[in-house]
Amino acid sequence: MKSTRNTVPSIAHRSMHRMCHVTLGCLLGLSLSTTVWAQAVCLPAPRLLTTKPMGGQVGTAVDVTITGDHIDDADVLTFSHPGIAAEPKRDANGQPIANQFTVTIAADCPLGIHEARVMTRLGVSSSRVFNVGKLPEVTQSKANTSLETAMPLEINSTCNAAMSPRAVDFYTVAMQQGQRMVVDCAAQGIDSKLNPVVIIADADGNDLVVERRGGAIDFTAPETAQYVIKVHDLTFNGGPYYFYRLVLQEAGAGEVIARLPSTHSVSSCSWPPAGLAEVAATLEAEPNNERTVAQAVTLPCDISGSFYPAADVDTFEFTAKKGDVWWVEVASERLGRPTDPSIIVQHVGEADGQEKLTDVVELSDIASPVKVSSNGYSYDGPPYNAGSTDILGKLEIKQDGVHRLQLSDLFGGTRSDRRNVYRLIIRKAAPDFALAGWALHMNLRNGDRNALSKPMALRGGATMPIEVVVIRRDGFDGEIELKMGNLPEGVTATGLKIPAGKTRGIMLVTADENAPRGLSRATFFGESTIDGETIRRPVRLASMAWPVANAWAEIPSPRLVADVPVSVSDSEQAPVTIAPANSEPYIVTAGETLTIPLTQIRRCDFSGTKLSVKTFGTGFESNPAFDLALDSDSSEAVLDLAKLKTPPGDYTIAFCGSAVAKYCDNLPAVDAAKIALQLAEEEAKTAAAEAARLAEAVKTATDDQKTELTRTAEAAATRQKTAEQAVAATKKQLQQATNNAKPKDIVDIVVSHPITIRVQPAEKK
Amino acid sequence: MDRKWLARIQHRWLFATIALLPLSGQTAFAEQPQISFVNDVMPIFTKFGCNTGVCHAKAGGGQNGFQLSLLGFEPSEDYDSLVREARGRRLFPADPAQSLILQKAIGRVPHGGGVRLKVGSPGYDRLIGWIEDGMPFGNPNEAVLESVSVEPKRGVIERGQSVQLKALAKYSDGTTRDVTDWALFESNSDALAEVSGEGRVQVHDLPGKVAVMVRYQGQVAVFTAAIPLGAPVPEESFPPAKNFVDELVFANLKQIGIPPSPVCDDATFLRRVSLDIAGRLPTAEETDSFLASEDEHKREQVIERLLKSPGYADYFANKWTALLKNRRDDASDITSNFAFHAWIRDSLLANVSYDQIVRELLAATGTVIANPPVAWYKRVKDPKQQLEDVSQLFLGVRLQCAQCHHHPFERWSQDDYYSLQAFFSQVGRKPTAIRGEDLIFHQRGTATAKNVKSGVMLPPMALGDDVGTIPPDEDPRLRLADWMSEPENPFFAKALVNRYWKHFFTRGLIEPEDDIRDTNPPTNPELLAALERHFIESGFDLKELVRVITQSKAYQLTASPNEYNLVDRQNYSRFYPRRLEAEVLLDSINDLTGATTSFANLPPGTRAVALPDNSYNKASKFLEVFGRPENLSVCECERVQSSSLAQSLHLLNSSEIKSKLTIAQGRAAELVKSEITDEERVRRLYLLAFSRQPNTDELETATAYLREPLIDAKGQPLSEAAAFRQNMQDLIWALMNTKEFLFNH
Repeated sequence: MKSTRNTVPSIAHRSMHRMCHVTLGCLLGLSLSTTVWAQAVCLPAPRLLTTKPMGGQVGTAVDVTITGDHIDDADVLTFSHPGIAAEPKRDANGQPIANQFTVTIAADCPLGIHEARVMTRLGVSSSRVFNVGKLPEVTQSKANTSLETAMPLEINSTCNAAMSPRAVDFYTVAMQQGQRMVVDCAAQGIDSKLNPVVIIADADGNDLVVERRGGAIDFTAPETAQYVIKVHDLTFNGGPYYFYRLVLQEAGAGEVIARLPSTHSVSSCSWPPAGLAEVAATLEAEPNNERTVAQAVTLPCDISGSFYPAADVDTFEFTAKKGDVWWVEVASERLGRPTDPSIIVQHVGEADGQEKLTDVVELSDIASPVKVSSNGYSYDGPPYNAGSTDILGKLEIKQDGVHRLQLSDLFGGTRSDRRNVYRLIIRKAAPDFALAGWALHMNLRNGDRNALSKPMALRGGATMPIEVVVIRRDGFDGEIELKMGNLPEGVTATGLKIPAGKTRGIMLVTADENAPRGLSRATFFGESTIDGETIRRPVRLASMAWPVANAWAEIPSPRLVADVPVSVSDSEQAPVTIAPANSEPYIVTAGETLTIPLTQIRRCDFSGTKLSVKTFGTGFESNPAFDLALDSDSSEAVLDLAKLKTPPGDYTIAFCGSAVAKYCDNLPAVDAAKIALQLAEEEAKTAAAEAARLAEAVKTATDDQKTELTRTAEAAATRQKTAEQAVAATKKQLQQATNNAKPKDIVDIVVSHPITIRVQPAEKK
Repeated sequence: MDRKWLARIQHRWLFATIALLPLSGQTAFAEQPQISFVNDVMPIFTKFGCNTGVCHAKAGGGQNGFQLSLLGFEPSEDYDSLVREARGRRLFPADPAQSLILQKAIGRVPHGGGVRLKVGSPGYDRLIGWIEDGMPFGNPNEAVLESVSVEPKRGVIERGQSVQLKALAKYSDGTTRDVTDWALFESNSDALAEVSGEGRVQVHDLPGKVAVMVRYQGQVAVFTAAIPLGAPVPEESFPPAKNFVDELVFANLKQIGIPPSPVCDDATFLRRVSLDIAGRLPTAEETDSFLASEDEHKREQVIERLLKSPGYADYFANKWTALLKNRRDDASDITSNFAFHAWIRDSLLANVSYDQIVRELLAATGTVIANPPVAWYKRVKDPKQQLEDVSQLFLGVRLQCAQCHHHPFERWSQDDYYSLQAFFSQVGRKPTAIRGEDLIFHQRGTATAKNVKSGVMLPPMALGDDVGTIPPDEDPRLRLADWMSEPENPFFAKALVNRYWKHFFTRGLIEPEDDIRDTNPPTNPELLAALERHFIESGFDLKELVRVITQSKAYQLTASPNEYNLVDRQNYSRFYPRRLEAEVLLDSINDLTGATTSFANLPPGTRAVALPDNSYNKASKFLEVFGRPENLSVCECERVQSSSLAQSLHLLNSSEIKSKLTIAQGRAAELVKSEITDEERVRRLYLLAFSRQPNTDELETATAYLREPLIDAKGQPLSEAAAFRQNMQDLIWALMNTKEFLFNH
């Protein structure tokens, strides 16, 4: 994995002038952050929510405006691919314009989906998709919500737009009779909240063709005319988060136009298996619905096909021997299709001259490695599902002879869509694993159903837990070590391994209390030994496309992200740091009790005096929850190894709970505002003195001097007035910053620093 | 059935039993048939209403502890109730006339059901005889009722005349008995003909087709009669037939002697067909253009234009989404409701064949967003409700009764009910991230459903039709959809064409439109069959069905009656006017007044016929008052089309209507500002409201009214401009309140 590392200069080291600028940015962010306060869950995290436009043409430069939560002081816009670079836009005085960047897309930058993030006071933001296309791009610049205000588009162009609420966007395009055009609309696949409906209508706006299920419209003009393209949300929602890219492409006869690229579902973390050929060796050959026309195959096999037409059943026959064990994998949902593959394998025998079928195995669904949150009253598990409706299962042959495999789509009874493709692989066991990870979602209180995107933006002294789950292939049962590399200075990562036979581990990413501000693209992987060989597989990181405050009102949208950026902030430190008093391993004899002294550095007040914690880490997870004192600088953890029955060995554990901090947001902004006020007052004072001096001078000036002096005095009076206005404005800003920094209750996960333990064998008596 | 009943007779009846012994030998049986409980006694209870649902067959114990099965469908249970239950207190063999059952029936002992039998009547005497015989259940080998027929089967009855029907029961031993005295008779239209308990049909003054259902012990037969008007029907009174619809409608009219009204004028046709196909009034420009056209095919052309328009899809989607229960119970339903509505609307716009639409709905799988018909399974979760809705909506068969007992008017049994349910038995569900919304998939396995009465597990059967063995891998719902779309299916196409016929002609060929059964025959069976055939042959093409109906001259007859056909209510000799539906009326008022109605979440200007679900009824008093359904039922009857005082008051006094008349950018303001003559103003309003030009009287009255001076509330004269503006609003208001505006005619 290619990675980059850069250390961003500390805000504290910048000039006073720059400080004032940043302060202004901090202050501007106050109004936006109120929505987060209302949630009162999770400390503020920077989130990049929109870029406008949402992409650009390869080999060009484009001006991009960004919005988000806690990003108003963003000074760096960075991308997941080095072929895209950004510089802040600057005003006439050479000063950066807040939230505006000029993005340059290299000519050799790959087309498709990339991801943008910003670096802020609090660290790196969550990501937003940035598209790189080959067509010229335009951006909607004014409302086009009626036929009369329709925006003209050219064929072979891309339009970046955002939907207005309760509205339909209108476009026009001129077409020649017989001309073929494919209209595609990227929305949810590029992180938009829009559920797009695309309509091609005649010049009067009468609908001709409608597409509501995310498909493209393949339209051939019946006559030379102006056509209207309408776009709206399925339920007519709108706003800046309902952005879309409308792409009009001309297509020749028979030409296949690829769909617009999109992000990947969390379930696709387990696809493809390592070493899989890009193209399957065998193609499904219709007709093969009936047993009489079953397609003969030889195991192992790798087949590509499609669930087409409706109610398609693909039947394959092969010969196998009793005792053979095969592994069957199907991908379709993980290829982005809305399918639910199902397989039944039957032995084909004979009895009384008739074919006798005996069920061997029925396969469907790859189970989620951990219990996924239900849609009940409050979350009861992570809102991420690494499982799939695809298939990954074992086929044990019970008797010699011909076997018949029927593959069908449980969702395909009535749908005829050639795009519903699949890949079927039957192989001898090739033990392996695939990993996915996400920021640990806290167990929430009743009724709390928010699903928040959590960038790895660490505060000094914080430990961030990443939940890692594994999809095990072909009987692989071994333990998996979790590791990260290329972390920013002052940041360490400690993996709590996934034990043998288990599906879940934790990665702890810890920032030193005084780590310098930094950002790097980390590597994140799991390692295991399979057949004596060390196998390394990446952890595919997942996040929410949007911070969802209430999942009953808005369905969370988890997806895989392209990279693993890790940042540390020097602007703020974690509310509390819990660490073992001694960094050396704690040594204990099996069956005895281990007491671990803990230090607690508290940087704010907390609601309540106790922190109930659970124990992470193999060998200790059954340790009952216990309380740490939140009103003390130290605590003790007592582990009874007799009850835990932890066998001898080396272990790493951590304690995790959640606490309600009296959080003060952006205290540096208060300091900066105070300084800004001081400067403004000094400037006002100076201006007032100068104005007074010149006013006096005018009184005593000679006639020759008077005209000039009067003009100078008036200019000084204007400067005085401006300076006084600046003082008033700065006072207001200080007031806002002060209000904002007042303590507010926010609940968040608290995780201790990792603790290493060596359990020694008990002496035999 | 345990036939050792004699051995278990109560001890206190022994004397009476012994006294009867000389009559109870085999010889006596052979010479004098024993009274059978099933064949002779049960019909008495049915005839006199003892075993109806409101009487002793009431669920949960009958009446005062005496429980009979509904309409006598469970004779052995009834026998136990009568003879053995309550220690046999209901019968007194020693003195049969003193039996409680008879004492109650003749009213000597207080009886909640009143007097049901007279002493000495045939029913009374038969019960006495049965008790005297020792209350036999019957001979195990006795003949079983096989069928019932009626004589005559059909006929032509002049108005005011009557005819006596005879009910004949045929038994398994080949014998036939006259059961007229014990059969039940029911007319399908009391307005046309009434039938007495003894089977005499008395015809009234209305011409038409009437059917009398004859029921006897779970078997039914139907007598149908034509009641001719007998008016002269010269050939020239009929317009030239456009298609088979005309041929068959006119043939019926000729048969019963009703001359049709003439074909309507162009203005009436344009307004009617625009309202019926697209749910809207024609625009003034459309009307101008249509009236000016001299193209002899202009009616066909406007039908084509309307069928291609999004208005057609919106209007019929509105109809279907109500029947398919697209209902908002929770705010989170919005996405699935919008998706489901849009799926139907888009399918209609693209003219997806009807059988394919139903197939996609019946066998829907996946998520609502990926496959919107899945939303139906979100709304209708209970497999019993699924089969009942599907049966009633798509097959025109009401099966609800058959869940608990044999359908009294039909051939449907509980086995039919549960074997239809079996098609839905493998519908699998998986939770999604969306509250209340499941993924729907076919769960592998053998489809069966349990007859809760018999306990037998039944395989899928489509209303008695064998659909073959369905392997566990196959979604049985697809087999049901296959069966529906077979050209021979006797229900599927018939139900749809009848439903659509009603849409255009106000009255179905079968009424109610979703209660199709042998005992409820169509008024014009040849026409129904021809429509059905045409629909099937067209590939279940809905637009073609609309086309063939609206192109017919029968559809284009004027609503004005001639001297004969005012009384006609079911032969389509003229157009039957009907009040505009709530949504259409609201849109029409908006079109006339130049106003709009704002609906939550929807873009300004969205028409009421394009509303996706029922949630807008809460906010719109207008829609509620004019009967927009709440999408609770598959029955079109949920839409209230009757008139009410509230409707009149709403049109006359509501602030909603007043604001529409007076808005700044509205029609009145536009016409007042426009630089045209008053005559042109009035002409424009008539085009908008009635799709026609005003006649001379109307023009004179209206133009004079526009310039009438007005005084304000204080008695002061209004300025000329103010009076003109108010008069213009009042004129629009007056036009809106006419029947010509409120009705499709």
